Parts: sequence; structure tokens; C-alpha cells
Amino acid sequence: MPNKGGNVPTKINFPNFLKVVLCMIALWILYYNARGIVLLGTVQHLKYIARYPIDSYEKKMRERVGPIFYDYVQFIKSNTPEDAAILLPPYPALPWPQTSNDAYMRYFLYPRTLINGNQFEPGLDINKEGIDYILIAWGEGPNETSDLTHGWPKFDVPATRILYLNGEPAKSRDDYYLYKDHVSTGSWGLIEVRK
Amino acid sequence: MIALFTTLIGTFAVGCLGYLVSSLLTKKDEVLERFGLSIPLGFGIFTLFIFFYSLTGIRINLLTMSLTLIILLSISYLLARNKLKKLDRKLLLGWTFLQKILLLAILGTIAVSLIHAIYYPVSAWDALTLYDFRAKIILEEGHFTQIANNFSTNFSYYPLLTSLIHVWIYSLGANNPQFVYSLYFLSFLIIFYSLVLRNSTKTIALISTFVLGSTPILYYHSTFAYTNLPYTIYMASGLLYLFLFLANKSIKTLILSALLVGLSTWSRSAEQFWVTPLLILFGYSLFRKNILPVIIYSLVFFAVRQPWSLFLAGLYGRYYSISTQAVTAGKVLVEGQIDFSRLMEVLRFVYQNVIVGWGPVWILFIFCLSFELLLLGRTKRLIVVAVVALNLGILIAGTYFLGLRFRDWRDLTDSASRSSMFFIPLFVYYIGTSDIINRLFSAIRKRE
Repeated sequence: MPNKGGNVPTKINFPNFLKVVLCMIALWILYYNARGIVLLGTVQHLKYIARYPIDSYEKKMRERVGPIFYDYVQFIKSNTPEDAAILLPPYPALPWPQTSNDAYMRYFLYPRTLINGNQFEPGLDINKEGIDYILIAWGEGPNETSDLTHGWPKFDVPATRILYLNGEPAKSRDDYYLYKDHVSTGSWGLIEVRK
Repeated sequence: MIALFTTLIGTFAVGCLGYLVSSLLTKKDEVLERFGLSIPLGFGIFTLFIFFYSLTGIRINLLTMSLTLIILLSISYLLARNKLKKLDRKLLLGWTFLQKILLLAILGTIAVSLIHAIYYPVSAWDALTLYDFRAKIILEEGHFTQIANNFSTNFSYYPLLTSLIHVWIYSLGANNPQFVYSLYFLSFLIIFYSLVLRNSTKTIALISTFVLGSTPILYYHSTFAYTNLPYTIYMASGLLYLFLFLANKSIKTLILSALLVGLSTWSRSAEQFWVTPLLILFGYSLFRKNILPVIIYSLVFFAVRQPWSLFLAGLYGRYYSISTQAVTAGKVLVEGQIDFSRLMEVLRFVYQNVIVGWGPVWILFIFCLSFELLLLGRTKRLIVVAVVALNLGILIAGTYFLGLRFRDWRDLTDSASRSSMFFIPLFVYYIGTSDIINRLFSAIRKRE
């Protein structure tokens, strides 16, 4: 039927309409995929690789697992014997996503024995269980919960020696780890337990 | 330099094994497909045999692994030597400019994946806590099954495919096995391209392959050492070959499907999606009144799946056996214990963490499906839809039952997304071989 202007209206071309819809979905898929790959950090990684094409294993691992964690776990490895038993922060816990995960720590510290403690007390008999070392771990994670906050251990430990990764707090003792001397100090270290 | 050379030779040798095995199960002129199958079949079968001989107490080291590989290569060469064909060197002749650009784009994606995988050391969470850690223990101790009890339950819960691949690569002198995952990805894209090409044009096959290769979650998993990509590749390939069997009725294709789905359980055994092909084949057998396909499939599939399953049941008890899990699920259903409010929560969880993650490919799949069903009245490809629907059902049921045992199931969003990666190749395959896509492409070309 002609419209008021006297022209016959154009029939809707079904295949053209489908073509338009399909092209739009296809473009959407291409955009979705491209955006997804970019959001994965692909471009930044390629830039990093282009900038440092020959980097050591240590530098690459620091970049991947985090420099704080990597430096700390290497510090533990070089200051404890392979048959040591080490007490880790409580698990699972937001402030210590890596250092409290015994399976994760195991990759770097095997064959050392790794056991989780509690926040305000060891959670076991240190001497009976043969714990040789206790971590001083501020926490590599930025988050806290209402009951799990940065800084561990939050209990006192008699020590043979205490080693620090990043400098000793001003009021610390060599023969006793006192939690009150480490509140809010951001300390990372290792306590060799006095038996 | 020596380590690079030995690693390349060792990887090539495993690929040769896969190529020879695929030659037994594919037609002579399907050379490209055989290349695609070489890495997945090679590593799958090789590591399975390492596991078998290690059960007897034989140490896992470079010598025993190399001898095993040589024996497997010899046997498969003797069986396949008359079925080999040289690759056609004129492969790229007659390709249009668009097709060459698409090929470059696909190879570019693989190149970026390979660079990323080679440059960065193994550092992904689960790789450090399990897959790569296990490899280092096996390399040091020379055993796995004999020492598994010395570690936590988690140590043995996952099958050994990826860990044994790492053991092989480390024993050749390499310090980073992650390139294998990029190779797996490349292999899968070749398989996918070959299968789409059987029912579509070269351009559409290349576009579909590029879409698949640039899917963010699949690309991402090709750059680090997780079990999800090998699982996706084995499961998706296995299902695609099942579709092929239902069309061509070739028993060799059926065996290939069973082998691939079986190897998916050698990569990850927690997911129960392997049930789907069995259900499809049971239905097919009833419809055709021919029980042979389901028997052949079951023999091959369970020969691959059961050894690890029996090992787990022996280590941790009957909880891990199929019969115990089936009885538990059956009890819940029969006693009417389904909690419908929990079920709604599971449906919401699956929608938000799985279906939304599939992105626009899912929309296009529904579009093509609707067009074929409603406008063309086509029902032949409903088998793809049936497989998707069954697997979705298994995913929902599996999530529901997981929620009964595991309080924090709602936190496993990433795990749910990873477990259902294999749906994406099925969608892209359906789209790439759909009538609407092929017709519209033909229409565009005619007008040009």
C-alpha cells in the first residue's frame, strides 16, 4: 500500500537485519575479548618483558609473588636449617594471606616442618611439639578483620636469638620477644625459641 | 643451551607419540588434526604410563621415563607406520588476505602467551601449593604413590598429569615448564580449527578459532601452570569428537572421544562432567538398538579413569569412589531432601559466576540456536544443546552437593568459573558451524 507521499514503503530485508545484529554481536565479542586480555595486564607484562628481557629468577619471582613476601621467605630460608620446625601465623587470615598458608610456604621452605599457631597464643606446647622457630610477621596483606590484625606473634616468646629482616625495633630484647615492644612497628623477623 | 636442546627434543618426542597415536584414530588426510592432537595425546598417554609403572615401585627418573617413551614410541610406530602421511607443504597456497591476517592474529596470540609463559617462573598460587611442588618432590624422591601419605590430603587429591609433565621437563634440564601450557593451547586451536572446517568455510573456521584463542579466560590459563586448561582442552575436544561420531558413526572417532574425555579426568578428577558423554551414548544405544558404542566407549574411558580413582580410594577410603558418591546423591534425591531455597541460591551463584562470565559468545550461541530451531526448524544439532544442558545440570547439581559438605562454597567463585571453561569452545563450535553464520557469510561474499 502506498503511504501518504505516494511512495511504496521498502520491505524489511530480513537477511540485512540479521547481518546487522550479527555484526553487532561479533563486534561486541571482539571488544569483550580484547578488553579482557588488556585487563589481564597483558600490555603491562609485555612492556615489562621488553624493558627487562633478561632478568634473574629471583627478580621475576619478587615481581610475581610480591617483594615483601619473597624477601622475607628467602630470609627465613637462609636463617633456618632444613630440619627446623617453624610456627606460622594463624590460618586463614587476611593480614597473612601467604605467610600463614603452610602449603604456599612449603614451596619455598620444604623440607622444614610448618605449623600454624593462633593469634594471641601459640596454640600448642612449643617445647613438646619441638618448635624451633617462630616467625615475626607483620603481614603482607593490606586487609585486616575485626579479630585478626597486623603484627604477630601477639604473645611473648623466650628466645635464644632474634633476627630482623628490616631493622630492630628500638625497645627490643635479644633474649625475649615481647609483643609490647613490637606493636605497630611493622617488624619482620625470626625468633629462635629458647628451649 | 644443552638444557634448551634436550627440552626441545624431549617435548618433540612426546609430541611424536601423540601424533602416532592420533594416526591410529584419524583418517590419513587429516594431517593438521593429527598435529593438533599430538601434544594433548602425547603428554596424556606418556604421563599415564609413568603413573602406571611408578605404582609397581619403579623410580621416576629421566632414565625410566625415557625408556617408557621409547617403548611407547616403538609400539605406536609399529602400529601406525602405514597410516602416516606427509604434511602438504602447499598448506598456505590459495589463502586470501583476510585468511592470512586471521592466521597471523591467532599465531600472534599464541606467541604472546608463549612469551609470557616462558619469561615468568611458576608462581600461580595452586601451582606453588600443589602442582609444581609435587613435581619437585617426585623429582627429588623418585616416587609419588609410595610417599603420598606423608603429606596432607590435598597433596594427592588432584591427578598427576600436570605434575608429571613438570617432572619430565625439569628432568630434561629446563627450569620452567610453563611453555607446555601454551603448546597445549596452540594444539587445541589447531584441533578446533580442523573440526570447524569440516562443517564450515576456511574464513569462518579461522574467525571462530581466533575468537576462541582470544577468549580472555582461555588465553590467561595458557600462561601459567594450572590443570584447568588441559582439562578444558581434553573435555571440549572429547565432546567435539563425540558429536563427530554421532554424525559419522566411526568407531575410531568414538575411541578418540573416549580417550580424550578419559584424559580430562587424568587432569582433574573432581568434576563429574564425564558423565554426560556416557548418558548421551546410552540414549544413542537405546535409540539405535546397538549397545556396541557405549561398551567400546566405556572400556576406553574407564581404562584411563579408573587407575587414579582406585588409587585415591585405596589411599583415602571409599568416599572418592563413584559408587559412594552416586549413592549419596541418590539418597538426597530419593528422600526428598532438596532444599529449594539453597537450590535458588545455587542457581544465582551459577548465573553470576559462570554464565555471565561466558560473555557475548553465550548470547550469540542462543541467537544461532533460536534461529536454527525456530526459523529453520533444524533439530540435527540439538545434540550440542543436549550436551550443554546436561553439563549445566551437572554443574548446578555439583555445586548444590558441594554446598552440603563445604560451608564456604559461596567463596569458590573463581573455581566455578574455571571448571566451566570447556563450555566456551562448545558455544564457539556451534556458532562457527551454524547455518545462519555460513549463509550470511556466503551472502556477503556473493554481493562482493
